[in-house]
Amino acid sequence: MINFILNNNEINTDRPAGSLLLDFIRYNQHLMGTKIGCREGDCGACTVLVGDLENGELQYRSFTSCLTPLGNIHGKHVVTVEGINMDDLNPIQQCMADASATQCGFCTPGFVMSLAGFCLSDQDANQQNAVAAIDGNICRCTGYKSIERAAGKITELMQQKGNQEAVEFVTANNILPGYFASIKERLQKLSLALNGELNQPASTAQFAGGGTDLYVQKPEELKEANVRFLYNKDVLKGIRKTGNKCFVGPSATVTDLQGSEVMRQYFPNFNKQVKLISSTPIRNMATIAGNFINASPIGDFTIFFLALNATLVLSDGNKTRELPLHKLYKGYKTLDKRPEEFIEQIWFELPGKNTFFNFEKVSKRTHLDIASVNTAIQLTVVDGTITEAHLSAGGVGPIPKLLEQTSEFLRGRAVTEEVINDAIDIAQSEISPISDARGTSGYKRLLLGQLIKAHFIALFPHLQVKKLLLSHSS
Amino acid sequence: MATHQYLGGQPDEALDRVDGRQKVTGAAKYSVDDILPGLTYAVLVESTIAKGHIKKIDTKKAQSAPGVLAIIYHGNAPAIPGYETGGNPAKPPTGGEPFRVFQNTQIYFAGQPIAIVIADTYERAIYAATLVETEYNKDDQRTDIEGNKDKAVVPKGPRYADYIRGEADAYKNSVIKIEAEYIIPVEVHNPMELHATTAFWDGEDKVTVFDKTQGVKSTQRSIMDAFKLKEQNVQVNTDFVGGGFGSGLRTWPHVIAAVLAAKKINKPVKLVLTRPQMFTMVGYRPYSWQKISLGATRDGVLTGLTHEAISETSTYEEFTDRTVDISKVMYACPNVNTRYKIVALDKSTPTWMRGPGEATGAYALECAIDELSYAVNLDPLELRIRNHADVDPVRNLPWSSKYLKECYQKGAEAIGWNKRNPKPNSMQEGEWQLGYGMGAGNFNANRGRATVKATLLADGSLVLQSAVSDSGPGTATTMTSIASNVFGLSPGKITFELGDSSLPPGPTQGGSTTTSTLGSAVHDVCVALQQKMAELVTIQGSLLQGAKPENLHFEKGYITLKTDASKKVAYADVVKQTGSSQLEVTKDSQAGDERNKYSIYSFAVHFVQVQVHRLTGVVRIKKVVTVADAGKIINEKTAASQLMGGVVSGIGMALMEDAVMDHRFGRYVNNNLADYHVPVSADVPDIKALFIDKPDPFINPIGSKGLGEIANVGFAAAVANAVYHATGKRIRTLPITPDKLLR
Repeated sequence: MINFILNNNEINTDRPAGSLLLDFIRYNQHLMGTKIGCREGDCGACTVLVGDLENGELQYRSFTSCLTPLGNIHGKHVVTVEGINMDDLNPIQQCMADASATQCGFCTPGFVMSLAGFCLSDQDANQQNAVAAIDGNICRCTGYKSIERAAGKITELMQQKGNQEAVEFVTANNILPGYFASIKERLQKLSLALNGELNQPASTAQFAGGGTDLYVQKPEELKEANVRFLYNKDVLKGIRKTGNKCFVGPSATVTDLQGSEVMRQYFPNFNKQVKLISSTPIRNMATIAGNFINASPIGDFTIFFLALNATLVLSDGNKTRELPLHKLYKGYKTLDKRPEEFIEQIWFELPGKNTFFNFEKVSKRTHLDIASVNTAIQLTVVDGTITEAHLSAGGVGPIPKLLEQTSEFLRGRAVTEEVINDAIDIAQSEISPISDARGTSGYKRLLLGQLIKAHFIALFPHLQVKKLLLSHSS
Repeated sequence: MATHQYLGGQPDEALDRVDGRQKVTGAAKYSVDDILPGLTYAVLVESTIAKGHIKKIDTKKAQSAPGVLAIIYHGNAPAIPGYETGGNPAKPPTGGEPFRVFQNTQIYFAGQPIAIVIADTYERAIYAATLVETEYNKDDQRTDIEGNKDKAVVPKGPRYADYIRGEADAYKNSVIKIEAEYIIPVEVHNPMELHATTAFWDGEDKVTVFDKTQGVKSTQRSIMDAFKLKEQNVQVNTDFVGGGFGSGLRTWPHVIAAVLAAKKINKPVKLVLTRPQMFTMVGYRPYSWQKISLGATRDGVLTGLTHEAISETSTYEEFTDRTVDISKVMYACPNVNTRYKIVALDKSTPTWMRGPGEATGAYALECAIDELSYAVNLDPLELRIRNHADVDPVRNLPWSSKYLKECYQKGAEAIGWNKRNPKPNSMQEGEWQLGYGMGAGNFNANRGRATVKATLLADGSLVLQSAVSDSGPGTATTMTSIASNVFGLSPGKITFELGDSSLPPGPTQGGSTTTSTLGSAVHDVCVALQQKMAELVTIQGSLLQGAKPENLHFEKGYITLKTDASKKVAYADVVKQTGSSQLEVTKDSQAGDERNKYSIYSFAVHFVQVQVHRLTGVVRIKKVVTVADAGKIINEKTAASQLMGGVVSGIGMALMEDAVMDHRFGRYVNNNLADYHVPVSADVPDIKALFIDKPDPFINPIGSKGLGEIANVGFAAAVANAVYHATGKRIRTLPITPDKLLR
């Protein structure tokens, strides 16, 4: 049985844990305000909020319900647009209506929910964050400007919040219905009442993390499958620093990483780089290990962690073993992993004061897009000489790739334009891009060259780069 | 039926949308949202080959899957009595024969519906559909225009014959010559709402259909035709439409399939297309190759313009649009000729997509004009003014109204056109190259026919009804504004009802005509109702007896004497005086002969500022100014939203949208919203949507021309021209992706 709170109602359902929240909401509960636009997490029409207790604090995040299995919301609070309706329009809805921010209206409930998510978040109440909250919602009619105006008005409302807890503020000010004030307590009660974890037997089970890729690939298959949900396991979450090592729980989401003190301290550009990756709801759901195991040749976080030279701890429930991330990939979507093994831990060495990290991605669209080519680099430079180097690249071969020869070449060399150009030449010999809808192989080769230059330009602002800028070829 | 009532007080500016509340609360009901008792679910089985015949369909396994109620395919489908659209005024823009779903074994395109599986739940229908086994006799398909241009033919009918004004190909003899080829790939409408149909029959000859359509009457007509039913026995409902952009202009085969399925099992059936099916079953903007050849004097005066285009259609229907027509009317050029051809390919039939042929043609024409401006070393804006068409050069008739020069001026000021360095590749901001571009467009401003019923109730409130559907622009809101102004009643007392085929016949929403067509009918019915009220209040023994009707004034729910404002009668009292509960007038309204005396067009100009990244070729649009001459603007809020939405369609067309087909299989490889890119909020810059807002004196009684199309016509050219100005690189194949700039 799956137990959760849907809007203001306790739900106790025997629907399969692998079936989708979206279908439960619409077909089982007949809450038709949550819309279906793609069933792939691309459009945001089905956005809902999911509230969860994290270290005793109630935290709400936006999810695309089309990729959320019921198993992942066990013990949580799910909010649909019906759950934020009040006697009159709530101020979020009023701002949307006043700004003429609806046209055909089909995407509107999704936008309203994303903006409600902004109001419930602990982020600073500024226009930038409000607009970032709708980065996973597509509208084909309005041109977005009126929606952004509404977001601006909502931001003004939220600026009164100060240091108050978001839930307290929005309920006290009639921004959202009063029942939200009781949810924390109800979730605490619910968690005590839950009879352990979901049934997760058998080593034959399909593992599921955030579901953001798995449910795009085979939703029908998973609906009734024996799914083992790793997403909610507290022991698999968390990001901590021990000595000079960073340990990342495999079920940590991208949003968890963004919120982590360690990441903020050691990767000051992290949030800027993450903005290029997917959208808010997907980042709220997608787990780091899920990105690794999905083995997409272009997985953004795989590329990121390859350059960090991350190590995995794999477990089959009894025995564990360590494996460098780059050794996980044996071929296209083929892994050095037995079916019963799952990632128990991810760790990497934190950069010292002479170590620099950069991530670059080019995609056709600003948000919600898969990279044409992405790449990350970590360099240690002592007195102008590179002493350690890890360069990774995605979209240029069948697997997410650590460019070992290029990395090896860079070690022991000075940072000069010649060395960079030579490194680009070597990188070209390590890759094998194919032509597809995201670009021709020639373009991807060219792009990787340009992005390697971009790494050095970003990391060494004082470097003379005239020759680099001139040459388009490698 | 959707009922819309304005809930605010008397607004001091433009009316807020009357349906805003329903939309922000999730209460707005779309065609997929209806849940009927005993509802069953249908899923389509699609052809995996692009051309050939079905050899065999084996449904045995699927039939015995749990919950399956029926599987319909060519081997067991009931005959559909009629497919001819006959005298249907709303018939599709195609020659040839509409695709007859499940009626034979022929395969015309990959993704063609070849069977429909109906089950008690959606999941079971999906599952059973995977169990249907099909064998084909496959033929080799042709799906690529490139390599098949030699098979292009001139479509039938005088409208598509080669056009010649003055001398053909006169550019060849000009001092300055520009010849350039342009390509736009397949674009897909992709409204946010998936197409969906729910149908149920009441006996043998009566059916009710909830459908996503831009025209409830045209869908009603198509179903009447297909199943040989009487008008009063086909009920089509469309409360809310989640966008269309043209995809809802036709009654597609899947609609007929759903109606057929409901008949076969005699239960309500719901069919919802998947996002991938939205690429093959509801039309698309066809791939087009265009060549523009311009001749001019050294001063930039056009002496010759030749516009050639080859576009695509299916093998079973002839889809055509007005790709080359914009070149006939946009500029004053003595020698113009056009050639338009289509190639029949093994694909589904395209359909109109926002700004349709005009947007396709304007991209090529307006890029070529920009190319000419550099060839004669003239400001592109000045070049356009120098070749301004003061009268319609095709019909040699005056324009009913034309404020294009004012648009140019207003837009140029707003974007800071004169502050730019006119030299290409001359402006920079850090790693980014900066550029400015412009593009203009026009669109025929039509007025069709519509009937509106007005009912004045005993409480003095007004109900207006017409069988139109609103795919988003805000029809009920605009109509409420018009009625409020014309009839003299607070908008809060007006209700507009639409989305129901049993209401008085309204127009299909398309081609930028709804405000003009329906708005005129609302105007006329309000005037007619006032006349009726005037008769009633001036007859012997009535409240304003003896007064002349022309001396009456209608405002804020009261009739007063123009000469004596103290004499007034509430509208409600006029109803009471009749002794009945309401006062009704129905008015059929259509254009007169103004089109014989004037050429009636809307105009727009788009200015954009772009940044192009030097290292990666990424293009970002930084600023947009769009100015429209669309006649009188009824509601600045909904109009601005419509204009900005069109701009964003243009951003997609210029930089992103490209349905990529693998011609080895005739299938799309990016048939989802992750890989088929439409702009997201981060792609959309500051947009200034400006209006001239001067009424057209001739088009109709309200002075409004159209807006939906010109919002997009010419926009992609403005971007391409700005990219050229930024980089010195002329990209003639859309979309302008980074790879093309790095080559």
